[in-house]
Amino acid sequence: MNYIKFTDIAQLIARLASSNTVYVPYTHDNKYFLSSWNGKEAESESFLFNPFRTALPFLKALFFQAKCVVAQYLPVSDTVEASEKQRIVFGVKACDLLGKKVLDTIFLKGEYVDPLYSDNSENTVIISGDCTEALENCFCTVVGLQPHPEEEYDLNMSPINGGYIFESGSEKGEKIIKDHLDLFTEATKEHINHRNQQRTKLNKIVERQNQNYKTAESRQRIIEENINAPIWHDVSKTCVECNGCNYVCPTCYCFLLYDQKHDDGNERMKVWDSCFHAGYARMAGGITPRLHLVDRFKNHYYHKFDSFVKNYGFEACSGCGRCIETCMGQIDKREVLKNIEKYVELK
Amino acid sequence: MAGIMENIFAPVFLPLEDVITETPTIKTFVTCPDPPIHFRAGQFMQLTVPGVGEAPFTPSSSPYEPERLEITVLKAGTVTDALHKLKPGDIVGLRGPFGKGYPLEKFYKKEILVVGGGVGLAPLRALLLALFHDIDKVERVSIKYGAKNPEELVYYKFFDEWAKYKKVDMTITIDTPHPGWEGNVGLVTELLKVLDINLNNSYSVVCGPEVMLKFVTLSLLNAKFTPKQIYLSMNRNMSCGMGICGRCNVGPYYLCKDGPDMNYDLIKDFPGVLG
Ligand SMILES: Cc1cc2nc3c(=O)[nH]c(=O)nc-3n(C[C@H](O)[C@H](O)[C@H](O)COP(=O)(O)OP(=O)(O)OC[C@H]3O[C@@H](n4cnc5c(N)ncnc54)[C@H](O)[C@@H]3O)c2cc1C
Ligand code: SF4
Ligand code: SF4
Repeated sequence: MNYIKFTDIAQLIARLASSNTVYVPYTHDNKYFLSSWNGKEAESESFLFNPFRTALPFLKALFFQAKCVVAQYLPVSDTVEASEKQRIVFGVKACDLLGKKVLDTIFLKGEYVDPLYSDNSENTVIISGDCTEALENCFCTVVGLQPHPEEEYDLNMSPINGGYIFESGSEKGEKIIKDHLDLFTEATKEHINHRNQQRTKLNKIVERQNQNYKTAESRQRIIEENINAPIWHDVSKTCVECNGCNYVCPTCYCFLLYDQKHDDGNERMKVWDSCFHAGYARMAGGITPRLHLVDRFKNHYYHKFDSFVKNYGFEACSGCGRCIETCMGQIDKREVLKNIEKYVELK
Repeated sequence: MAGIMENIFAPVFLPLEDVITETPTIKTFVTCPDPPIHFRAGQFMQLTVPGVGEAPFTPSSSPYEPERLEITVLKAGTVTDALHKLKPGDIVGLRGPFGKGYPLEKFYKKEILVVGGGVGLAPLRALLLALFHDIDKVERVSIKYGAKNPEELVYYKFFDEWAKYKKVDMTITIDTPHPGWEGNVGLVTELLKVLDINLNNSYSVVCGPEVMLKFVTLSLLNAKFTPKQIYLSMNRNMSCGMGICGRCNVGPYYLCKDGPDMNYDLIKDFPGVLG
């Protein structure tokens, strides 16, 4: 593990930005977003570490763009837009990395490999960071994660007094440290102790704010056993089908393919889709298998907490709380799960 | 990698060899892929009309003649309307094959009840041709088929030929009386009311519109078929064909990847299976 002083981090980023596109956090209205590092600012402005996750699932959007061309045909062309320069992304949190794990499972590790996703992911270096504050909707500890990254990163940074500890999780990460070794020193025992104390502290905070949401049964059992229970009507009552919860979710991966005709050829587009709208699964002839909102609402939970576990062995929810933050109907995923569990107890 | 594509989203393009008008609303589109596309009966292809889009179809030709791939299509919307306008020589795109296809080996030594409605006989034709190819291996193939009216009976010209196979019998019906029609009248479920099939040694395979799937399934259960003995073609909205775009799930299954022909027992307890 390596240590870098606060004062040297801007230098590191400026160097990385000379041959890569580097995404760094910025803040607006108490929320965090990412944007590419502007070389000119590098000298005057120091790096801003985001204490909690970004408002939007930025990492997902880098790999699995909201809208992209996946094929061009008649005439066929190979110029499907893969990103050119290597991209280095800061500001990623444990919840975003769980999202990446879900997307990798679908787009890289199945029978078919999505070529664009694969290029994008090979071409990206992820520099994640520990969370040092929790948002009120954060519940990663409920779904078995920690508020600091444990896997899926290339480099992880933990802020401590005076600087950051960098821990590498891949060869790509290792290489960055090696190439800029002059900016780093070996992390000391005190550094690491400091980091570990900080991690424990935040973990306790997230656990405490979610103590009422711990379920006795696994979420999979709760949903599996109650998939046809009337309680779903109650918990979905205020949903206005805005689809927001799906679009902000780092693990949602549904998409739609459609074709476009241009003067000089045709394109096949891939766009994010959302299982909340009625047209999502509508068939020719007008039949919609999940006709009622409650069926689609259930499907969202069923997929994340039950069927994904059955198919891939882990839950497709990171506890990032973005769906709670965004919901117009003020629906809190944790409460939904708890209410369904309570309903079981009453039964 | 599975399928004929280099990029999983990009079709392979080829010209239509022939376009056969089957009924006023149904046409068969013939291509001669080179190299041939090997598929199992029941597996499906994604067919692209250039610049318009893609839709899933199960080849209706024999899996034993992969060098001549036929797809029989009902005019039903954007893509199928555009497809119906194409002529021999026009270019279409193909991706696939996708899905598991029918468990043919399971059907050997069994009596197979094949129930089709409308254009649903198209995917079933690939299955029938595969069964006819190995007719010695099965006990019996009993076909029950219904269409709206005599004009909409797809493959009518082949029926005599099919019925000539020993072990094969075929009964057809049309929904409502029609001048000059002397055969059965009524929904295909009527044909299931008196079944002479050996229930202990049979499977039934059903393909047709969603409503028809529902009522045929109920009739079969009524006739004492167990859910395990029923295979349904769950031809729902699919975009990718590979079990990754999300839309065709029933419970933990993706109909495109795990089907589209699903054993009813696997899916019967999930919400909304039969509409
Ligand atoms: C596995 C399988 C096998 C099949 N085999 C056959 C066969 O052998 N023969 C046959 O005739 N049919 C078959 N079908 C049915 C056939 O795929 C449909 O009839 C066809 O998809 C209709 O497409 P369309 O564009 O003409 O219809 P449309 O109704 O115009 O469009 C249907 C498609 O367009 C999209 N769409 C519709 N509305 C919207 C909207 N509001 N927003 C976004 N997208 C929308 C959807 O993706 C939908 O799938 C099969 C279906 C499946 C799943
Ligand atoms: S379901 Fe909600 S909490 Fe879970 S990963 Fe998606 S947005 Fe985050
Ligand atoms: S964000 Fe809330 S209101 Fe919008 S679709 Fe999701 S649950 Fe419904």
